[in-house]
Amino acid sequence: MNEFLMHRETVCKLFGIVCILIAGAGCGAYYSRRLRQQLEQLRQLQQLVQLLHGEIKYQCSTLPEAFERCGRQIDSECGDWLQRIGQRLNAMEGTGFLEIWEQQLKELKERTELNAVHIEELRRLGSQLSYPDKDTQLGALELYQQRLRQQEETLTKELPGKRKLGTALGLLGSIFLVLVLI
Amino acid sequence: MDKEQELWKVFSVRLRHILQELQLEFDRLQEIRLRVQEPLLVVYDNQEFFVEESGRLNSEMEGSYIVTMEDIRNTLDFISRYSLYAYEDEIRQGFITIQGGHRVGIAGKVVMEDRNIKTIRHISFLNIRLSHQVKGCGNDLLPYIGDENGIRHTLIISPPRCGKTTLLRDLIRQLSDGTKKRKGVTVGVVDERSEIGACYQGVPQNDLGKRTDVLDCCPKAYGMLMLIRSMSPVVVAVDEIGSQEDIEAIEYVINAGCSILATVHGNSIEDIRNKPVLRRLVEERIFERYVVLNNKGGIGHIERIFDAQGNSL
Repeated sequence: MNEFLMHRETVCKLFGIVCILIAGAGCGAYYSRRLRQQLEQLRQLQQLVQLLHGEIKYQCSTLPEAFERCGRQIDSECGDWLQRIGQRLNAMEGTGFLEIWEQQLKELKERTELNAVHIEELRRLGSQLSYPDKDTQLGALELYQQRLRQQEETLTKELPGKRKLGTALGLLGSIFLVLVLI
Repeated sequence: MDKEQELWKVFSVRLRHILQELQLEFDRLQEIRLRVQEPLLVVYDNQEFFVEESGRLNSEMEGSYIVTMEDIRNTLDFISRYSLYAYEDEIRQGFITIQGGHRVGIAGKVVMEDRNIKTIRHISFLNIRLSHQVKGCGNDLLPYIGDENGIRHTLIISPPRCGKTTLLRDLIRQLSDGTKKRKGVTVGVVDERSEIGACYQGVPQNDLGKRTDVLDCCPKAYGMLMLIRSMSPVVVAVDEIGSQEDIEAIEYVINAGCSILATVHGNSIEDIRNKPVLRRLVEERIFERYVVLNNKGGIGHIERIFDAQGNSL
């Protein structure tokens, strides 16, 4: 009877260990997936900025028009975000540009993997987009585009290392937990 | 959304509430004037009124709402759809045309570059002039400018705020759609200031007829030539001619066998004769009809109609 109970306890422990290890590995995978998504979203932002630049430079579109049109072209969370800003601006609900931009930024932060630095950069871009002359607008977009490119390059370089680190930390963490619990 | 609600949306939230409280007959409202730190004014039925904060019209200034810089800034944001840069050319000319065809006059600090106006900064004065399409206002004039032999080159002479654009718009519509007596013809409109068709994203907001092509925001002189080359119009219509280039383009239109329908600022034929650039038009009898407007009998009131020799008809 005792032997049976001990055997059952060992099986349970083993099962628990396997679960913890899987969870650890899952955490690592989740972290690297988030990083990949972040990189993808930075690329989407780059595409959006490029389209916006063209809309303003060549079509002379107003911001709501440009936002809606560019947002529609990029079928993604970032595209939807820009489209929503365009719709709100077009509705002329009485709210200022910056206020709408800020409110929608909060939403973007919740829905995407962009980090605080990326959001701050977007906030800065918003404050520059309300300038009245075209040159300043285009300059602001070009500068932001440059920053996005740098961020993308950095992330692309760091991604393999960070992914490995994430996976390793997940596994090591789970091993540590297993040791502590045993 | 109706035209009235559409217009209120270009004002700051505070002004929106006040103006919506006014309960005016929209068709009789002509102007809304905003001047920073000055009372809010409207021109209604050719009369100027101060507007109280409670949304009442008053002929006395006392108790009227004082427009703030924030009101102007927010209104300008909505007028330009947060994109003043997209209206650089219009701002240089001193106005922006908004959805519905209403014209917003702008004044502030003018920035010059190489003796040309670069932009207007610190915009502190806005004048919203409402556009009202009055269908049928050209009925009385139509028999004078067209018959079975064709459409006569016509110049509408009028001081500001007497309805020359309104009249021109209706003539375009009727010539394009045709009437019981005459078939419709192709009309080409060069709408440099977006006032005739009030195009919004390429679509005329005013009814200009079934056979009308509009070149929106295009300089008149270029536009007239472009229309002749590409759209084969029977009639070319333009608003507010005045420059040497405009006159040359009009001659080109006439030589191409098209009829011209134009308006100009002035009080009489004499007035036009006294303007160096326009004098030639009268002396060479380029126009076959001159229509002089005033607002004595209301907007668009025809004072007199003259033939090419200056005889009253």
